[in-house]
Amino acid sequence: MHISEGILSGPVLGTGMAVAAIGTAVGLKRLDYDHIARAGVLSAAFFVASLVHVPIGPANVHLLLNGLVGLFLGWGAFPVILTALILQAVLFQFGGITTLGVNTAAMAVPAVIVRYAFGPLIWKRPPVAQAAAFACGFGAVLLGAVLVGLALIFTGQEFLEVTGIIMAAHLPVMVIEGVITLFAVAFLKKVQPALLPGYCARPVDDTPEGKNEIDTP
Amino acid sequence: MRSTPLDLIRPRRLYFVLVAALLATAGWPTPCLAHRVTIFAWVDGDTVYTQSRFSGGRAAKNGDITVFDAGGKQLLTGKTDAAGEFSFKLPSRKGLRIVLNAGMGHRNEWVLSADDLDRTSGGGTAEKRPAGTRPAPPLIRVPASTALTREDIQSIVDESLDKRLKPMMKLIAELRNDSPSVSDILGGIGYIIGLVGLAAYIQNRKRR
Repeated sequence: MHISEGILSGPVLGTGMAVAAIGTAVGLKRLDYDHIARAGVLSAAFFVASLVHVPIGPANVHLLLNGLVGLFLGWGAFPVILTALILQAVLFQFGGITTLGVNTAAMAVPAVIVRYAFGPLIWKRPPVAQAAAFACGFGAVLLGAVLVGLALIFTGQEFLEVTGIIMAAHLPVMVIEGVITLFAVAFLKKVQPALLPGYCARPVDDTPEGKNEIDTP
Repeated sequence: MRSTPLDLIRPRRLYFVLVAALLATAGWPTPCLAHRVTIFAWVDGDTVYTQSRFSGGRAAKNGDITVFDAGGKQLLTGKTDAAGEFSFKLPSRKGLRIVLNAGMGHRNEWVLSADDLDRTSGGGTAEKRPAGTRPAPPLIRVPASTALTREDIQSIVDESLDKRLKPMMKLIAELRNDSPSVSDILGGIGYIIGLVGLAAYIQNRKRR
């Protein structure tokens, strides 16, 4: 999902940059001291995730992990994804410098949406919670495919066709990311629930770590 | 006790983080596989060969190739085959820009400058002759080879070099694997750690 240089028109690039800039500003504002280390870890994870190639399906696709980043950080996903994309563009030549804005928006907007759509549900009863965690990973890639399709619409390609191709190519990734997010949430609930959003809504348990409070952004 | 960024660096958790990181690294099937498309083109005689691949070596099948001349005029279009290859007759010697669009926003290009085209075709003066018309074999037997002109020698050398270099060019195309190296990956992670440190420092100063 890295759009290369030289494909998109000026207005699309400009819109992407504007969205990315606003999102990054909001994200940085909300990224307080307590979330910095987490943001760094997630940025590193996002940075290397695109090297994990999924050899299923027709196209050449890789993991994104934007759902996971969004779930843990909300608006913080913008600066985290932007940082990782800059490094990927410079070091791996994935995507491009002019398309940074569009690529950031295409991956961070879904991250924020799934966070607010499904994030609160992960503290419900197991079937609902599991479905919500899966939907976080699955939905973020799905929405990302739609946004990339939207960005490419102005290049003269048919929106439904392009989006269909991108979605078909990313279907295995959606499922894999859904499962990864499902397990990550289940694991963190046991080990370090304070890392998950909306934790303070839970009754405090009596281990010293359990009393950690987390200000949700 | 509030949760702080340093939570991750407490000994017990550091252990978990390290184990997780090691597992993740070991689990990478092939760290070089990734999502970026490259195109490489070379000239052999009067044919241009192109090879298109995703980094990691997978062929870019069915990609759209568009060839422009130095002035930006579109000369021809085509599609890559199952091996990601596409070849065409050299339409002009004044420089070519070969653009590959592999779909889903993946695009790259390769420029053959007029210089490249000139050299590989044996220079402007010595036009390459078709193989059958070369008068060399009978002449070579003549001891005083006054009849063997400069152009003849050049064309013989060019032809034989073309033949010899073809596998080499293919090999170079194969070896052009510019997927991320381990040092790129570690460098990127290093940058992120540095940024985290910087952000923590700034936030910490703000809090005082």
